[in-house]
Amino acid sequence: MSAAGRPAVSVIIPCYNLGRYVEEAIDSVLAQTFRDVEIVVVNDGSTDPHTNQVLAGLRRPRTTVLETENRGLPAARNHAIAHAGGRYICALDADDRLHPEFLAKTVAVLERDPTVAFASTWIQCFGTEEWIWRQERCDFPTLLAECVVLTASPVRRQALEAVGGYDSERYLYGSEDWDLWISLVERGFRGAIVPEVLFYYRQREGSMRRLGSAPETRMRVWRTLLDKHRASYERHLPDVLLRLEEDCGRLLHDNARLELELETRLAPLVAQRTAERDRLRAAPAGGGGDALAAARAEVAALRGSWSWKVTAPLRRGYDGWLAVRRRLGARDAG
Amino acid sequence: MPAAPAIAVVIPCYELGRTLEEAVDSVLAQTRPAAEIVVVDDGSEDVLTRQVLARLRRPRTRVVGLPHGGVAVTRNQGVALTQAPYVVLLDADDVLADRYLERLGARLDAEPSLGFVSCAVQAFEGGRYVWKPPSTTPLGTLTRGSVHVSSMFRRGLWDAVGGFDPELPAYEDLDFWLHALRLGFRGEVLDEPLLFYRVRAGSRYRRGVEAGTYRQAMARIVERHRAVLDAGGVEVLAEKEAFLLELTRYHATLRARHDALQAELARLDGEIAAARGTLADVDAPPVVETAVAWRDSSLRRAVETALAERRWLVRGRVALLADRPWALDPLGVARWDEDAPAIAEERGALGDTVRLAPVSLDCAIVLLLATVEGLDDALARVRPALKPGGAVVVIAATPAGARVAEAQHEPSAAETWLRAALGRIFPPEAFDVETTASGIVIAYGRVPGGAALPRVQFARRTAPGARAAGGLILGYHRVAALDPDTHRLCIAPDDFRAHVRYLREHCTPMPLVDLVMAARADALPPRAVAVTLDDGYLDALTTAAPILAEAGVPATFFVNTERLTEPHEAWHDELERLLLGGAALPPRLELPLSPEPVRRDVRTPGERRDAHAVLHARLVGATPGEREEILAALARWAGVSLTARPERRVLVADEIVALSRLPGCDIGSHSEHHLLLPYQPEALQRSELRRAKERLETLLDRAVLSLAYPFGQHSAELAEVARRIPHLLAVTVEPALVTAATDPMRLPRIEVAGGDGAALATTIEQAGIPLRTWSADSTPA
Repeated sequence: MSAAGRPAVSVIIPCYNLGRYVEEAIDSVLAQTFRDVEIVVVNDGSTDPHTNQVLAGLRRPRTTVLETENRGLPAARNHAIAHAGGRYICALDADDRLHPEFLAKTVAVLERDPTVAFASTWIQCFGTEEWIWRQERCDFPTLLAECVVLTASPVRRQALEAVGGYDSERYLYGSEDWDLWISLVERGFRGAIVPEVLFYYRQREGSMRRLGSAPETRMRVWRTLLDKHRASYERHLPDVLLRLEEDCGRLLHDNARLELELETRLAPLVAQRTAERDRLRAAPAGGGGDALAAARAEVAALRGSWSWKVTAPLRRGYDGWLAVRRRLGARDAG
Repeated sequence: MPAAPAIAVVIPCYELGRTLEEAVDSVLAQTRPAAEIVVVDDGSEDVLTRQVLARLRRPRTRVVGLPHGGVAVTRNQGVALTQAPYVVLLDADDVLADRYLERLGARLDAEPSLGFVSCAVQAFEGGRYVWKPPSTTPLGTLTRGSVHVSSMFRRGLWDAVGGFDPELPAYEDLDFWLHALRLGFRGEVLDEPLLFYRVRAGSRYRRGVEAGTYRQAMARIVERHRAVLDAGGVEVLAEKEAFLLELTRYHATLRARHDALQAELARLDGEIAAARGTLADVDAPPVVETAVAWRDSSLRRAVETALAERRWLVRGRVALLADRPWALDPLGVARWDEDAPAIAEERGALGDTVRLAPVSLDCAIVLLLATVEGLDDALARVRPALKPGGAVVVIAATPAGARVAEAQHEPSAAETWLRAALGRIFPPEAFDVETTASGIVIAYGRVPGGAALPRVQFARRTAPGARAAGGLILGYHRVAALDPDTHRLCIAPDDFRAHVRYLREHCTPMPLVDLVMAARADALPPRAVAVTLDDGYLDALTTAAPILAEAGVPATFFVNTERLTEPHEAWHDELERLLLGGAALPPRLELPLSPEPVRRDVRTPGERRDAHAVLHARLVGATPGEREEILAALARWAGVSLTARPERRVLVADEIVALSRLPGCDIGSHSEHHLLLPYQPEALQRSELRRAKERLETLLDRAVLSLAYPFGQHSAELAEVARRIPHLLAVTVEPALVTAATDPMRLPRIEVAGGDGAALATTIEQAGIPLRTWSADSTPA
């Protein structure tokens, strides 16, 4: 803590029934190279006995645990903010983790440039698939079209207070932070993105934005944002539309590619392989005489077919493997 | 009731030679015909496309070439070339269902307030789905896409919008329809899938959704149609998001199917590997790396077969070159002139062409077993060694050739490569490339100066639907008005002109060889017709050929080769002249013929006609010597000189050469003396056919592929003789359609006896030429 007794950063962690992960999240904060930090955990009326037990017994340096009845995520965050003393607020979810340099590098941006009200970073996804989520810009049209800013991005306390904190009136299905960033920029604040991977995101299925949440949820959030920020959306209509068009173009492109691949490569290949398997199974093992001649004739007919030609590249690989295996077999025999 | 308004169909084509003919044919097969069809070539550079465009001959179809300007410019220029009040733009890779014009046109006929009509789309080839354009409102169009470009619109709509914007890199159609909608034009979408949309890798749509192109196009469209945004407000964003969610859901189902098939494939591969353990020997890949392996390989036999199938190109002085010279030694080469006494042949390595003397070769065969590299160099050196009319055959049986058919519908890499190589030394119409069933890619071309190259249209997968059931060969003799015309051989020039015009407008006239090859490959265009003229009268050159050439209708002329350098009349014309020509004859005819002398009174016209019939019957079965003797005796008896009359004589050598050089005119053999061959001994049959063919080939310096049996009379024995001479095809006079199953040595032919265009229409109708059609009902399962 600083000499004045007020930390530079308050990391707030609302926790509803996520006792399994919360200690990991806290430890990733305590492992920061940036040390001027306090942690405020809010037990948002958890009903899970294990969570309540963990939070009751939590003894970590610079960490406070608050208790409220269950009021939902935005209210829990606002409650934590009210009890936090930092100049910057970082809203960490109980199941995420920070890179050790996360606070050092984001806070440095905020300290250096007083016109920046929040600072986000790039994200490394891990789990089923590993990829990096790179966002270059968070200008207003971009932000209106898509939440390109990390939930945990540190934000100036006075900016947060100017917009009244998180909106606890509307239900935003976990997109409360998106609404917050829009509200901030609407009031003239701006954000920045540190172009480095400083955050780890647990990968769920598919793309983060479009496939991460159920389509119905996504549509409801979108409706709510369009209504609440109608004036902003109308002012930036063409730019927001073009941002959506980028996703649209990508999806149209991917879908066309998949359609073609399914119809011209995979489906014929499966049909051809099925026929080949059935033929091989029908042929007598180690056959000879007429049976072998018949098999040879069938092979010749198959070779002439179009599906055989289509699958040539695949078979080349397979033939190569067979040749290697034969050579190895011959060497063993020799 | 006034006639329904005319419809123009404009087909822009850029590098789409593979599919263009299908698109055009689908327009020709419409139940409500298009009044105008314009194919606009957007400066295609692809060799196949240039070949197809150069050969495209379809009724009512204009082909217009433009310098490359992009699809918008091409469509704009194409529409400007038409006048019809309704317009349809058809992409050269798509296909109309046969009721497309009827159904969409009916809506425009019925609803004057409609500016355009669209319909659902059936995907084919690379996809199988039905897509229905979701909306015809400006907002829906902007957020969910427009109707497809092949929707039918009124010319007034086109004029009001001002066509497509050439500045847009993609989605110029979206821009076009948005303009139309904002101008107040109303549209409608029919539920029936009446357009077949070909899904393929290189399509404009695929390029249009590439990230950079898409963004650029959309930025311009959004900027330009800002009014639609302003009117829609945030609803535009809600709609777009809803559309995105649909795309996302669809993406998820595609992804799931993709993963399932991949898993299935992995499982099958495992099962195959297990089962193959016992049969690995059977399925070993053919590796041809040594002379011994090559000698025993099925590949060598496949190459020999492929060569034999094109043996009409292999004649005279032949050079055989290969990248693996050892492959030439055991290679059997079937020749066109297989019985030629001295076979002049050279064999050597591919790089070894320096000793080829200029203009010395009739044929060069290049065999590639290992690599296609070096072909360009070899061809550049072979080309000056070829005589006019000389041929090149390139056979690629390489790993890069035979086993490189990677894409399902596109030509293989090797095919494209050979096409490009031959395109560098031959004009587009002088060569072709194909892949045989055994996977060998074969290219063949001929140096200009020879006959039109037989063009083999090999079978391809086409749009769903039925093919033409057959083609028709028409037989004419003389284009003249003469009296007497005892054998009814004449058609008046005006009537012939009407026939040719009818063929041009309502049929697909093809060279005879093309028609037969296309029929064999089951790839006939609709209402395919070939024109033939027998007996080689002088009017073939002076009257028939100019009429045909003017209309661009190709024809084959069958000529006899007796007394080629001496102006003369055909024997039956001489007979007619002697007995029925109106000369003052002695009252009684006595000819001491064996076994039965002819003794008859010839005082009255009736008696003279009877005597003519009797002598004609005798002469038909006679040998050339007997015939000449009888006619000479008859001339002495009648006191008439047989000096040839210009309007009755047949062509002499120089005239046959001149005829063969006219565009679209091919010369076929009608035998040496026009004898009734089935009743002659085999030796005479053979010499009659061989001598005619040899004389014509020497005279014309080109291969003579076709034969017309004299009197149309043939037998199994004669057909076999004709095949072995060899001829590629032979025509009879039995009326029927030519199909894939037709024996090329006994081709049916309809004899046309004169009459006007309507009479010809009836003849063709009665022959039962059906239209090749596509219909919405016959979509693939």
